[in-house]
Amino acid sequence: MEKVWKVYRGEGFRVEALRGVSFQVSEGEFCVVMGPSGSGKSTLLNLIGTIDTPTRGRIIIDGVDVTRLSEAEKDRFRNRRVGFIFQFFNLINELTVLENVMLPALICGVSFEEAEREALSLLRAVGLADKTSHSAAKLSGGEMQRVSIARALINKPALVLADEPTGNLDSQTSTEIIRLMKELNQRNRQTFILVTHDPTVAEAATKIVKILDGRVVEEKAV
Amino acid sequence: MGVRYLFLIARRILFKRKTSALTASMAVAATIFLISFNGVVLGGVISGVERDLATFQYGNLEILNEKEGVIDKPDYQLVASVTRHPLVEAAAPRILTLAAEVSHQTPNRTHTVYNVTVVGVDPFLEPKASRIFNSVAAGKPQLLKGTVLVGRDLAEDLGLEGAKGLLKVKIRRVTGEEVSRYVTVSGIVVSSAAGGLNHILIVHIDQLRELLGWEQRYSTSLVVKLSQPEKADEVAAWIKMQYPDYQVKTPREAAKNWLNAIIEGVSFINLVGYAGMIASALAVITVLTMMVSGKTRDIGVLRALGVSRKGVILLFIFDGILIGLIGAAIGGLVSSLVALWLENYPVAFFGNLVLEVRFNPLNLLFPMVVGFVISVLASIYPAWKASTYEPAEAMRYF
Ligand SMILES: Nc1ncnc2c1ncn2[C@@H]1O[C@H](COP(=O)(O)OP(=O)(O)OP(=O)(O)O)[C@@H](O)[C@H]1O
Ligand SMILES: [Mg+2]
Repeated sequence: MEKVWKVYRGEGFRVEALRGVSFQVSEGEFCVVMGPSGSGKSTLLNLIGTIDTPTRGRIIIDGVDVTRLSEAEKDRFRNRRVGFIFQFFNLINELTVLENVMLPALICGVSFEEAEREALSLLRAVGLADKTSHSAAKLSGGEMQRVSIARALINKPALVLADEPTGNLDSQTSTEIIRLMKELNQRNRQTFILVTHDPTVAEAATKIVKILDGRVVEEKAV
Repeated sequence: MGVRYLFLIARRILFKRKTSALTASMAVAATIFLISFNGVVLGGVISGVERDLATFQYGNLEILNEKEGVIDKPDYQLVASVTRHPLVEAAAPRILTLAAEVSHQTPNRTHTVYNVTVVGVDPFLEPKASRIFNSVAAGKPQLLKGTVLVGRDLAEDLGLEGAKGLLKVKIRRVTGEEVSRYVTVSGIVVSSAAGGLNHILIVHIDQLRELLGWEQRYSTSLVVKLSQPEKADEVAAWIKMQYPDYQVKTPREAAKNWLNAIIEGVSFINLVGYAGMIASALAVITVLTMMVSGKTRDIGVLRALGVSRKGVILLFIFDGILIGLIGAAIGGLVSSLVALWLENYPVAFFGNLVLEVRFNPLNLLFPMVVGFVISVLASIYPAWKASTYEPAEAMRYF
C-alpha cells in the first residue's frame, strides 16, 4: 500500500486517521499490525478489505488497485479474495453455526450441498464438529471466534484480515486461536494481516508493522 | 439462482421477532378482512334485497307500460300468452295506485293516512306468482271484494288493533272525481324492509278497477314467476318480442335506485377499508424499519462478506413478501370462515332483511392480492434504507 490517507470529516471535526501510510506484505506472510488505541489500525484494515475507501493513495493487491474497483467488483473481491475475522466475531445470531460458516460460499453462488460439505470440514478443522446445528448466539467467545475463522476461510481467500481477533478472549483461548491461525497460514499459504495490542500474538508474526498517529513508525521482518 | 440464502436469512430474522412479524401481518390481515367482509355483506344485502323484491313485489320479471302507465290489454289475455313460455310458472296482473286517504275510526278519534300506496291483486293468480299471501302475519290470507290486507306499519298508523276493523278508502280518479268505499280488514301483512309490503294496502283487483272507474280488465303491471330465475333475460327477450310496446324488467332493474343507494353506502365503507390498507402499509414500514435499524450491524457484516446492495434490498423485500403472505393467509382464512358462517347461518340486517350470502373464494382474491402487494411495496423503503448503510460504519454500531 502506498501513501494512503484517510480523513474522516464531519460536522465541526476532521480526523486524520491515516496520514500517508505505506508498507508491503508478501504472499503467504503472517503480518501483525501493532499500535496504540486510536492509531488507525482498524481503519487500515477496513481500507485493505474495501469496506471503507481511502481519501488518497493506492492499495494494490495482487497487482490490482482495489480502490479503483467498482461497487460490484468490490463486493466480489470481499466475497472471494478476503476473509474477515472481527474482534466481536460478528456472527449472524439468527443462523446456526453451520449456516454462518456456509454464508460466504452461498453468497458466492456455491450450491447448498457443496457449501455444507466444505463448512463441515472446516468446522472439524477448528474443532467444532459437534456444534454445527447450535445457534451462533449460544457459543462461548472462543467458539465464536473459531466459527468466524471457519467462515473467513470457506472461500479459500488469498488474504485474511483479522482485527484484534483475540481482543475479547482470555489468554489461553487467545493462544489457541493464534496457533490455529498460524497453522492455517502455513498449511494454505494464505496471507494474514492481523491487528493486535497483544505482544504475545506478535510472536507468531513473520512481519511486524507498527503504527502511531496514522503513520508507520516501524516495519520489520521477523 | 443464488438468492436462496437471502431468503433463509430473511426468514430467520423475521421469525426470531415473532411479535413484530405478527403485528405487521395482522395489520395486513385486518384490512383484508375488513374489505372482504364488507364485500360479503354488500353481496348479501343486494342478493337479499333482490330476493325479497322478487318474492314480494316484482316477481322474477315485471311487465310494464311506462309510456301509457296502463297495460291496455285484458289481463287474462296477457297472462295466457305469457304462461305459454315453458320457463314461466305463473303470471299475475296488478294495479298499483295511490289512495288519497285511508282512514280508520276508533272510539276516541279518526286515524287518517294520506297518499297510501294501494296494490290491487288477483286473489287466484297472485298466490301462484308471489309470496304476498304467505306474508300475512295476522288474520286470514285471503282477499274478497270488500276486504283488504294491510301492511304492518300502515296498520299501526291507522290505529288498528289486530287484523280487524273498518277502513274508509278515498280515491281520486283521473277525471278529478273522488270516490270512497268502506272495506274490512282481513289480514296484516309483514315483509322485510326490502320486501316493501309494510306500508301498503292490498285490495282485490276488481274492486280497485271499480274504484278507478276502469271498464276494461286492464292492469298497471304483470308479475311473472319463472322456474329458473337465472334465465330471466331469455324470457324477457321473448316477451318483448311479442309486446314491443311494453317494458320487461328484472327486480334488479326495477329496484335500481334502491340498490344503487346501498351500493354507494357500502362502497364508502370499502373506501375506509382501502384507507386501512395505508395504515397496514405504515405498520409494515414501521416494523421493517425497526428491524433494519436493529440489524444494522448484521447488515454491515453481510456487506463485508460480499453481499451486494441489491442483495440487502432483496433480503428485506423477502421479509415484506413473508409478512404479506402471512397477512394474506390469515386475512383470507378469517374472511372465508366468516363468509361461510354467514352463508350457513344467515343473519338479518336493516330490520329484517335476511342476508343472502353466497361464498365465492374468488371475491377474496382481490383484497388478498392488494394486501400482499402493499406489504411488498411497504418493504421497499426500509430495504433501500438498509442498502445505503456503509459496511465499516454499520459494523461500529451496537
Ligand atoms: N467513522 C469515523 N468517524 C470519525 N472518526 C473516526 C471514524 N472511524 C475512526 N475514527 C477515528 O480515527 C482514528 C483511528 O481509529 P481506528 O478505529 O482505526 O483506531 P484503532 O487503531 O483501531 O484503535 P483501537 O485499538 O482502539 O481499535 C481514531 O481517532 C478514531 O476516533
Ligand atoms: Mg480498532
